Amino acid sequence: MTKIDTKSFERKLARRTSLVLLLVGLCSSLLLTFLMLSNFEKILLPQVLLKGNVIANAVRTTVADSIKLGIPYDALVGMDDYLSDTLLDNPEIEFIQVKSLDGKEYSLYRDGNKQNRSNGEILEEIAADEELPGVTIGLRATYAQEKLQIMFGDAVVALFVALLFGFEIILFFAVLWVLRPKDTWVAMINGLKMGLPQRSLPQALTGPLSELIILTQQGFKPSTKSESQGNLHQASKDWHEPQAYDVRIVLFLFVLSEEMLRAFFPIYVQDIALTRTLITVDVDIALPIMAYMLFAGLGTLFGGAVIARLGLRNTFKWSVLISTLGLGGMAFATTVPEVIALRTICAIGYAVATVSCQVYMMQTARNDAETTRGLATFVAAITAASLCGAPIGAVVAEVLGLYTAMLFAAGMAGLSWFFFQGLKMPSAANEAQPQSNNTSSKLKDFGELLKNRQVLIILLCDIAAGKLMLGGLLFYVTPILLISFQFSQTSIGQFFMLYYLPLIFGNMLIARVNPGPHLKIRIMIAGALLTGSGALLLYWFNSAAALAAAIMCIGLGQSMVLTMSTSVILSITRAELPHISTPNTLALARSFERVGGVLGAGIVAIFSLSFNYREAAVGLGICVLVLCLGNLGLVLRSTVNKQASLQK
Amino acid sequence: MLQKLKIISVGLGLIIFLLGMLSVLQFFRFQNLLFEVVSSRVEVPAEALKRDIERSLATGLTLQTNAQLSVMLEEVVQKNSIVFSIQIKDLLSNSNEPLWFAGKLPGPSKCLDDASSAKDQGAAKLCDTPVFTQRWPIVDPIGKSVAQLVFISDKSEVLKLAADARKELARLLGIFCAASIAILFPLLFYLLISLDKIISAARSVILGKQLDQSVLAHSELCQLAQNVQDVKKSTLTLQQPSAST
Repeated sequence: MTKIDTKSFERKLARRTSLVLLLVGLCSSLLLTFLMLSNFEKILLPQVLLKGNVIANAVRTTVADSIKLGIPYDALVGMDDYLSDTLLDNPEIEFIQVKSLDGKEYSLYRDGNKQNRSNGEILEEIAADEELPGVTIGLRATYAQEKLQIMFGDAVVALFVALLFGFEIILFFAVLWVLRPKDTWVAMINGLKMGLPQRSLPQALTGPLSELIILTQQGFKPSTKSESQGNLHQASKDWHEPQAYDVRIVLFLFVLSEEMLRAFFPIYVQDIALTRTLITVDVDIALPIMAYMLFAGLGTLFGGAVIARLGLRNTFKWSVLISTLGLGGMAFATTVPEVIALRTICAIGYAVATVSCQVYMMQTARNDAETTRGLATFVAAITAASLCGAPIGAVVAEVLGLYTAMLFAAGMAGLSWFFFQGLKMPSAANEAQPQSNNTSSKLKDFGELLKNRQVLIILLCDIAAGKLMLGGLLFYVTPILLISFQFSQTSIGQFFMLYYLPLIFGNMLIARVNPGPHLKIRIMIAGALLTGSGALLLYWFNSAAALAAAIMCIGLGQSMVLTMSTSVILSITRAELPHISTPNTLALARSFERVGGVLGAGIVAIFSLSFNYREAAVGLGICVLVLCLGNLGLVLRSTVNKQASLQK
Repeated sequence: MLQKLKIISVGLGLIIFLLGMLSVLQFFRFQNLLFEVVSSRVEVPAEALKRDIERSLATGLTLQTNAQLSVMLEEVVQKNSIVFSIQIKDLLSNSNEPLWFAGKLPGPSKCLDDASSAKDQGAAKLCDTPVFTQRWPIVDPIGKSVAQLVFISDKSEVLKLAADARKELARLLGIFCAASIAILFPLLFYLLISLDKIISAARSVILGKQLDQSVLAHSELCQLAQNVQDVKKSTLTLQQPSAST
């Protein structure tokens, strides 16, 4: 057999096609953004100038009122404070000058010391007359540009989201038209080579390669009638073997439906709680988040058992159905208990559906490499959906309203079933479940794992601690704080990328290094500390920038914790509790993640009864840092182990 | 041909989706910025009025008895054409009626009442006008919020600006989509013709034609087609002895 060239015509063609699409897409997007922003500037600038005029008039009226009260113009006390307040309230002003006809002048410049006007100011003047002084306002010509530069940053984020979403769509068509037919063809050739009888072709075989496959099929038609009849039972099984990539679009759409709620869910609950409060507004906001985390955890734990009972297709069908009902129902919810009940339904649906997709991917794997590829596909689909979900959900909420956004999310979940129902399920031979997967043995394994001190420390002080921040700060406090910082829905959605981007880049960096066991523990602890410490910034700075920094710290910290903690916990289990299966260890870790999420929202809700949200976030950060101190036990143990291994 | 068109339409659809999503996101961001800038125009006289009211509270005059407030509100409404009305609402009383009011447009709650009764056509017409409603707390000298200053200002001007921006954006989007299609269509078509060539080469291999080794070495599809041919040959070789026996 001829060795396949990595620079083959087909790969070159695929590369060129992607490049052409990317180049045209990027160039036209950037050019459109540039022209769009120039157009916006033309509209915005006159409005800024109008505001300058209003300010000039307001300053003059205030001075006139003082003069009317009998205060001589030359002796206006507190003029500097007044001008300073005006400069502070209006960031577009560079300086204010109040000057009478006889030359007495009050002026204030933004930088305090500057006495000469620069060229970059647009002047708005009201001339002085006999009775009243003239007012000159210097507006920063760059003000509108600065605002538009921020918009350009947003455009880059939007472009990134659109590209990511587009990539998933391209991948779907690539699977449909190229990868699936090609794999089917390869399976057919290999099968025929091994002397297997001819099988049927998958019904949904489309794309440019289908012609070649049909030609091959025709070339190996059963020669006699008896052979054909003998192989009839074989023909029911076609050449196409399910692959992990088949389910990627399904997983992407399903996770997207849930992630779309991230940007506006607390605001939506707040709206409901303000009209019909259950406990207090703050606790009411936390309750659905806590219920979601709790039931998602339970769903993850018992998802495997549900699949074993109902089968993969039925499990996914029911999960999607209840998720769709839950999401759609929220559009009509009017009380907090209704929201809690619906979120619980969504959580169970989400957990079981994601477990179904994971099981599908695992069952398609025939060797270790395919298992790794399947896991990578699973993580990639979820990450892409998480990145796109919040910004897209925010836009939909802003354009169509919160309630329609819920229905949109429900539609997206329903759409995932549309793609799933056409999939061929992995063969029954691969569906063998791990032997010790019943509930009692699982609980026994959990008990043993929790008795191990090191495992307990990692679960509590690293895994759960990180999720405390995620559930409390990111999913609960962030949207509410951003609303108070005057952020729009769209911007709130884009803000969530500040978590996912450091997480992805952190993961990419960590994947490139292969640290030893002791370094792994140190990286994990550093990550846990970083996750909690970012929130402390909010103690000193009450700004969106501080919140952004805190979220980025969580993202980066979690990238260090997530990979390392799984690796460390598995290596401890292998060494000290070898009889406990990997799925059970991972299931316990996932449960602690959920517990962390539940507690995170709960802690913030309790704190917010006595403090404001910013202080509650700081409190949560302190809780996480205190929890991280538990890692000292792990460090000491690791140091002892290291010394012992060195002595050996 | 249909297959080619399908593939090209997916590519073009993606570019249109990309540009469309970018435009929608940017438009809403701009609209918020525009609303922010225009509504901040009202903030300047509102802050000044708030200061004056709080100063009057500091002199010992109560909001209920200070008749000068009505004149002050009227003056601000007259000086700022964008402002429809100003109200001072007492936070300490249960009454929904404002303490002082100046201008022509009632508050949003009043609008709803009027609209439901539909008796006063004039008021209903005014209520149809889009408005910004901004609120400032009036704080007494001991730091307690005693009243609320409500400004209702004209939003129709800014909505018109936003509509103009939307129209211009739609025009730009249309131009860019058309330009992208014009550039992409021939490029994708050319690339798909190359794919056609590869597929026809693979087809000819399946049908038994020999290809140049250098072509075979650089094409995955041709190699697979060659494998098909090899399997066919071996099957035939196996069938011939069995047929002769």
